[in-house]
Amino acid sequence: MNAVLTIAHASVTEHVRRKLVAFFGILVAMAAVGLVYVSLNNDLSSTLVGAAVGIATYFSLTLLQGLSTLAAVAVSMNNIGRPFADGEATLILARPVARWQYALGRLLGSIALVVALCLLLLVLLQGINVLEDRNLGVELWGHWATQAFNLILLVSLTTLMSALFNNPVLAAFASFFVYASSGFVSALYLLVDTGRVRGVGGAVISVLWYLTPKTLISPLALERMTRDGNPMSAGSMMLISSTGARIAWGVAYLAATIALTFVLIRRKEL
Amino acid sequence: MAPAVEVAKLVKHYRGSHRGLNGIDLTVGEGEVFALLGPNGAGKTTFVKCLLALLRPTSGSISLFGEPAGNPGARRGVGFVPETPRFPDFLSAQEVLRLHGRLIGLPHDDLKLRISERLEAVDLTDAPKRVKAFSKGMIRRLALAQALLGSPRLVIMDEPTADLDPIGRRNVRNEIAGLKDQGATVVLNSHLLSEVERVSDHVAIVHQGRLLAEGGIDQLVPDGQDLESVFVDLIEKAGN
Repeated sequence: MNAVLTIAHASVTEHVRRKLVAFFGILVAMAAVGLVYVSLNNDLSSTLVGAAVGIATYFSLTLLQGLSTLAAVAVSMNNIGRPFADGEATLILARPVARWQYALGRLLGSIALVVALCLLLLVLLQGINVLEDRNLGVELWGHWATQAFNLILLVSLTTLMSALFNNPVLAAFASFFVYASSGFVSALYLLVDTGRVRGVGGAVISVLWYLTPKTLISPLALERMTRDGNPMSAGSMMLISSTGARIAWGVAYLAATIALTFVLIRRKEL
Repeated sequence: MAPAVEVAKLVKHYRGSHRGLNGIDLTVGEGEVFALLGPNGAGKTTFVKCLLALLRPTSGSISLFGEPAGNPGARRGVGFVPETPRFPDFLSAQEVLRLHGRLIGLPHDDLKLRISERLEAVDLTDAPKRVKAFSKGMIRRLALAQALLGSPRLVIMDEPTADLDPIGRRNVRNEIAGLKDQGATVVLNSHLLSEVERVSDHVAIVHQGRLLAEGGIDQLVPDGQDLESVFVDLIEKAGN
């Protein structure tokens, strides 16, 4: 375990020193403070300016989620492929360190950063709530806890892709594509589930459905989704509606991606 | 007592390439300074990487001090200087050594002292703050420092004098002599034959992945000849 934690610590240092964490931290903090503070200080319905601010605020949560998703990909796209390709992993793996320990250490480093980012956001948003005497505490906690869980899934998926591809950009695109397509695949799978698509097409969609992550949806996001009638996420919710089942899916997906990463890293040569 | 390195019928083939190893049998006794010689592409680096399980052999077996090389535990007490060392460039020399010290389980109290000793030995006490500002020679010296950090029983060096100036080369020779005095085993990969002749007591010559000759320097080099002429003769006879 000592080797895993040592590698995780070095991985965190890498991202902090490369100023990646500072970059995303500042960006996210600015977005959070700016958008939420402005919205809370305006009457959203009475004036044209208020309505514009309202629209901007409406997308604030999505923007913050988008930024934190990008951050999760950025801190994990270099986890395995790049250090193997440029030889940085050589000296570490010439030590009494198993390959799975190396992979787990890099993964834990990325997870620690993503969880820290979600905590930062939570503290910022909670601070604004308290200042403005709003009562959004439980919803915010729930929202960012589910976001952290989803980002951990994304980090493990990106780490898997970085074990598959030495090119970090390719790994980032591949994982982002798989992650982002889960809602769309769920909507398609709903057609299979209700018997409207069968045969080879149905089989392909079923395989895709099992390959894509089943992310958690917070009550706050669910409320927006219901209001907006988002068909992709609605499809996803209809297939696995209970939070417990979605958590179980997520944990199974996490275990599967980590196990597959261990298999791939064993086969990589330096 | 198990030999430091025992290699039997080692074969490594790369997909789509003729290079690799074609059945190497070798034993390196504990406390020996062993040099593996060969022209470019002979398979020297492949051999070293197989010893450290960085490459998976196609067939054959390798053991370090009696333990299969594939087990991470077999690399406890092994130091490695690669041909082109690469360190995380955001770390300082001290942090690199701390990282390696922790990976080999050096006690926390002991680590600081050992790090400053090693940095002093390779003349890196006044090095720039981050590795990314290091010259090639400094990177090589840092690689030597990390390899020798935990007083290893076996040190594997792949072209350790490449990119070094004459003073740096002399320091490497002194380190090898010091390791030998301490009873450590050294496996050396080099094509600087004069360097090898000065420090080694056991030599093997490989060509196209095959072992052409092996033995003590005294056995391989007849009186009145040097290692270079023996090496060139053997390689020319083996042909392409």
